Amino acid sequence: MTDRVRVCSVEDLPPGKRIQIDLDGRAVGVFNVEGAFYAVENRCAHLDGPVCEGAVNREIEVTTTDPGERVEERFSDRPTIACPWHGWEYDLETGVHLGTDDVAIETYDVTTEDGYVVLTP
Amino acid sequence: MTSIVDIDAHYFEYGTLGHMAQYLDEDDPWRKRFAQYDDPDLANPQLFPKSTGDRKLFGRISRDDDLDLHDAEDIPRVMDYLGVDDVVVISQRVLAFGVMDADDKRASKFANMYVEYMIEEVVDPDEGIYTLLPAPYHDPEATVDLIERVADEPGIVGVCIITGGAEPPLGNRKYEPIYAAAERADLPVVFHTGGAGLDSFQSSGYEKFIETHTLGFLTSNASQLTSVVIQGIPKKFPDLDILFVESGLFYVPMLMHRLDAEYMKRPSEVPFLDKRPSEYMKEIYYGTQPLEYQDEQHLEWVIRMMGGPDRLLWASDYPHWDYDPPKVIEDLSFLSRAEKDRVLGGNAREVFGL
Repeated sequence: MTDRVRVCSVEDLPPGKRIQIDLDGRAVGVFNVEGAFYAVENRCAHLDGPVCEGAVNREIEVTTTDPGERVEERFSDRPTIACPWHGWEYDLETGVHLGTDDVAIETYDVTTEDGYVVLTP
Repeated sequence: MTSIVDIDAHYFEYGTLGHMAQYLDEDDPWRKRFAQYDDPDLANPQLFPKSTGDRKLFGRISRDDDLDLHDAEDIPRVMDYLGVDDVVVISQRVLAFGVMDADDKRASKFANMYVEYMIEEVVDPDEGIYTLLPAPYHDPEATVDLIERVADEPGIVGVCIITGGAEPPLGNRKYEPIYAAAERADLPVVFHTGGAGLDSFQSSGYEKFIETHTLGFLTSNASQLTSVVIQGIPKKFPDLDILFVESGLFYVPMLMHRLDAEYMKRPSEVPFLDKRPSEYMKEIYYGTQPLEYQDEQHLEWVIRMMGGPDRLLWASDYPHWDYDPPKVIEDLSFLSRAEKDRVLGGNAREVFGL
């Protein structure tokens, strides 16, 4: 087990940016989404696609409406990452697939310490 | 060493219609029409309707490897990317044939210029590059003429009929001359669904692409497979190789069981069939794409119910949003090495005579 890993300085990973690091042979994407940091393994549960290269969105949540009324969709505050190969989309924090909780990608804890982004394997 | 054949990659005739139209006669008005409609974003839907629904999920699917596939030079790059030795490219434009209901010659004109263009500029059997004749099945006579004209072209290895939207269904006697011509020419017939018109594939008003794509591709192939089998096409043309592609695999056993149950109750309706529909369906070939994400045990049973791996041909459907790499077959633990090799290429070489 690797000890905690210093990823980069906080300045080098501003909001909206992402970087990839090698973690004992595993490619891991580290994201800054509006000031919050996330890290997931760059391997989609579908076909091992480069999920970390995909689009970051917010999970769409629906508001329950009365029968017969159109469901209201809006973005939640939960960031997601979608594999660019086929669209498999995951909660960026938990790694769990948006459509089913029995499929997930690996996630890692990320914190900031002394001006650095630090990842805990 | 596995030798892989992709039986369905799509050749995008976008921005090339005007060039392709040069294969029509100079005084043919369709030559000018196709050239005028060469803007992929604006005018083309008038000639080649398609459905709404964002296949790329509003930016969620955006592959770096989304290689262009609309030029002869693009094909080797795609083959290299997919890791295939041979490829059968299928016209992208033909996918709209099912919803072309104008009573004019656009389908047959397009099919003619497509095969001429492909033979002259694109297919290259020495490099493992082939295509299918896009059948303008609306006009069986024109289709037969085209089959007979290109039957001996080594780069044309089959006849492609689009299942989505074909009326009457494709077991109808009006299409039998096409099947007879294909059988005489020793060309397989590939029944391939298409996404054009998906929004109203049966009932208009669906809201999500997941609904129309799931059901539309399923019902277009299932309805045409029912018609082809029950109207006895495999019986009437025993030497004709038939393939159904691009609707996955799980619908096939469902249809087998349901048709068999009806067949046992209503044999007087189909006196010309000698055996259960499922037995004919086990003589048909099926493209594996898009292979369902599944429990392996369930898939093993599905394949067994369909007659085993010898009925299956892997296809990529590249570059469409739901394409399959060869890995989807390589990863199946219940197939032997020899079975994987047949699904990935051996069966295709037999069926298409590569």
